[in-house]
Amino acid sequence: MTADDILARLTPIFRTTFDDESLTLHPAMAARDVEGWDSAKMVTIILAVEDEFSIRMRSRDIDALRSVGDFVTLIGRLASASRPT
Amino acid sequence: MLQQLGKLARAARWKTEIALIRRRYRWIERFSALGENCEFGMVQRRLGAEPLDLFRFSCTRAGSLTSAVGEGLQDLYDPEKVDVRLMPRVKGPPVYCVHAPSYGFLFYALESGGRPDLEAFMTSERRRLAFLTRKFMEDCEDGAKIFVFTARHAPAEEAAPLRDALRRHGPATLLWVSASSEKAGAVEAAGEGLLFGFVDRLAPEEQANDVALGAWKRVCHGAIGLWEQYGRLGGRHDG
Repeated sequence: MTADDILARLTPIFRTTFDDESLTLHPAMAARDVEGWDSAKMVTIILAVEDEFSIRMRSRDIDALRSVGDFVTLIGRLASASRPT
Repeated sequence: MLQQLGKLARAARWKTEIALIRRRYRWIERFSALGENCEFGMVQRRLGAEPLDLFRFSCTRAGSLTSAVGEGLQDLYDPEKVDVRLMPRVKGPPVYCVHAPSYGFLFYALESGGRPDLEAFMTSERRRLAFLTRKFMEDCEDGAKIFVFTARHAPAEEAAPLRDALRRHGPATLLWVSASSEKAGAVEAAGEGLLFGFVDRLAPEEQANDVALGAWKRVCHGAIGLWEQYGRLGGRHDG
């Protein structure tokens, strides 16, 4: 799964969470760039991401998430780790 | 000689771990609130941090917290054992809270946003609670965070049992904070995994955001210093 693939699947999650169909994600995008991206929304995003990618994020990984790019990196790592060999 | 080498290796590992922790968290995010109320959550907000912590906006009591944490907060995963209800406030309109009656915990819920579908709202709140519980337990196991209990009502004798309950799951450290005008800003190590911190005053009950920010900052910086110096305060004394 490429970073672009992940970003494409993340986009509807963010659009639904923030109720904004025009939202365009980019790796540097952080909470300060999106109105309403608070801790409550962050939980919503994480739960949706875990469902979408069939992964489970650990607390220490979640605490290090600062941007969309961090999501992409973490999802890529967890998805490849959970893929059957 | 071998003993000395082992000690040096452990000290080097500890330094590496501290560097990783410093990279992962901003300093104020290295703490996780335990209650009794929202005061420490407000301290973190005033300092620009919004960590995802289970008890950040909750009402807890030390005794029930101790027994609940000791048993791994099992009831918080069970939708049958938590409900969502409107609760009156000292000031302002009532708010939705998630209530765990077996533990006596109250967690502030998200705004329902006037949602007509209360059942869906309750389902999402229960799921949110289960997620935050899972995260809290991982933090206990991990040992990288310092848990903060703001002791408005609880006597200091309740600190050690709470520390013990946290430590059933990992090398956790408890920072027990109470009011003391003489010791404001000070932190004292009180044995394995336990710190006592003091602020000049606690926030008024009806206004949890009216915090003694200066003293809280000194307490938190002091706690991090002790934690790093002594290596999780008893987890490893190699620092």
